[in-house]
Amino acid sequence: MAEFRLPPNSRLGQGKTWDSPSDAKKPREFRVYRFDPASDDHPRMDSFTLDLDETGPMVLDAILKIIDEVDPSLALRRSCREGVCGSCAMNINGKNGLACLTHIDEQGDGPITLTPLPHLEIIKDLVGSLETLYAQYEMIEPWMKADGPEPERERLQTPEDREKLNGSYECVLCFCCATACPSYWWNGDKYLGPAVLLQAHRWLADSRDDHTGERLDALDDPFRLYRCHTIMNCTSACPKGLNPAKAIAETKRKLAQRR
Amino acid sequence: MTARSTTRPLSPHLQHYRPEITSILSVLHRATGIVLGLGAVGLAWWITALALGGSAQSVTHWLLTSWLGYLALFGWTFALGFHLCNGVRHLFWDAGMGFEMDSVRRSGKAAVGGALLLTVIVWIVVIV
Amino acid sequence: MSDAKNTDKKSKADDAAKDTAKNDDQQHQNDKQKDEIKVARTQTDPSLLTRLAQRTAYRRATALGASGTGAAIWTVQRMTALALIPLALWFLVSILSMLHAPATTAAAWLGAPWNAALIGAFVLVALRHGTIGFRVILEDYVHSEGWRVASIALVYAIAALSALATVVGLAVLIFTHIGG
Repeated sequence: MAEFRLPPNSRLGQGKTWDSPSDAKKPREFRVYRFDPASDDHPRMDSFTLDLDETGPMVLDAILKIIDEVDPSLALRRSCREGVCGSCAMNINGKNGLACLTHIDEQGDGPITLTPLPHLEIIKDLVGSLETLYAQYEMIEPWMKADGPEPERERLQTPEDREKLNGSYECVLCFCCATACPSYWWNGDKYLGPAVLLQAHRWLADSRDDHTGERLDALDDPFRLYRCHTIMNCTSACPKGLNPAKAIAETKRKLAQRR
Repeated sequence: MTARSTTRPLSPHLQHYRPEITSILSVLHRATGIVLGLGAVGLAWWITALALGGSAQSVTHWLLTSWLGYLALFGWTFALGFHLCNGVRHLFWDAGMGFEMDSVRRSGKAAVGGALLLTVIVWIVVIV
Repeated sequence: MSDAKNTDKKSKADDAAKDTAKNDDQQHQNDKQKDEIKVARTQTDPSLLTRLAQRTAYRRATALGASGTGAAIWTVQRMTALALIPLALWFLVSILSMLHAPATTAAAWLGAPWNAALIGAFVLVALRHGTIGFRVILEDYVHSEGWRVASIALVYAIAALSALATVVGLAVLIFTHIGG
């Protein structure tokens, strides 16, 4: 059976409450998932309280303040701090998003809970293993496969054909969508998931690519593509406002059309 | 099942992910589908019982007119109403329509409303 | 005689002790060697393990390739769904009141050929649509291959029996109706 509960080694242990500034004018609690691979301890939720008057506006600002001033051992991936690199993807109050694009004051009242992207093997703290997702991305061959002689300059494309790539080339591969999808949780070893399928569609839609049929062959499988049940968690989570669910539906239509 | 090669913990998923109207209705579509599957088998039995006559017929009639039978039929009506309305929603998606999050949420509410309306209309007809 | 036996025994015990010592020594050597290999591996090429892990993940993702059956099943599910829209609406308005009607009324109603044809179509198409749905659900959650195959086979068997019972039952009702 699909395992709906967390395995025993993944259940949360007793967390630690870190000292908070006593003179905070705008205190706000952040509950953060911690896991230390060097110890045998279970993962735990640590509590940090920051003064929002002294903190930047984004969730990422709060995490960086924790690292700078409270606990330098907190681990996460981050780079660009403006939604271009896709590194700081995590689960914020139960929904996936990029910490750098999520405003603290849009998170309502109460503590802000930060956990890693769901259903991943955790390397440390907020860093999950993306190995399978990268392998699946490699599998759809995300590069142009054009037949015929090399052109002397770039491969040309009409403005209308170029427009077909809008909505998929902007993806930053943060995997907020894939790890929000219950179907990917239960069958992520065989189902490609929304992020990879959005990219698969990006190459199906490219007028300069000559291997559409082969690409469709590789997707025509009850598990690789058709585990998508249009649950819509992917589109709801995408921090770039893209629509993986729609791209998957269009891929299914292409496959139905050639029948 | 994904083979776990390491002793790394798994991050929280179902326990922790925030439900939305979209995901809740997706679960409901599946649940009503299961109810309807059982209902289809029941329907086949009902036809068989009528053809057989005798005690098969009378026991089936007694079951269907008991309070449990009415409850099951009522649940079945709602299941059929919802699966029908939400199924139409799915068919529009399959045609590539109605994928913006606003319209997805609106069509979800409409499917629930349609299911309730159908159930009420059908049961008014049944009672009258 | 007994002395000789004892000496023999003693020397055997000595040999055994020596063997054990030798084995322990050998074991120790082996362990040391293994540790050295482990250290050497990680020291000489730390990226090797990473690359091997990536290779494993890639092979696991590609697995046995695409089955080429996804679109076919999906299309049948959508076609049956389309057919079920009018059939279900007809069913809702006409049948539900029959389910609790007196058996003779219901039997007579079902015996009318048009009613029988429509309800037969509804049940058969619904069973086809439903088997695909149940199969997808079982594939989603039942990961042990044996249980998955067994449970899907059971669903198919129940659906086939129900379809057969429906067709035969309706035929009987029509003939009774026409004959009566």
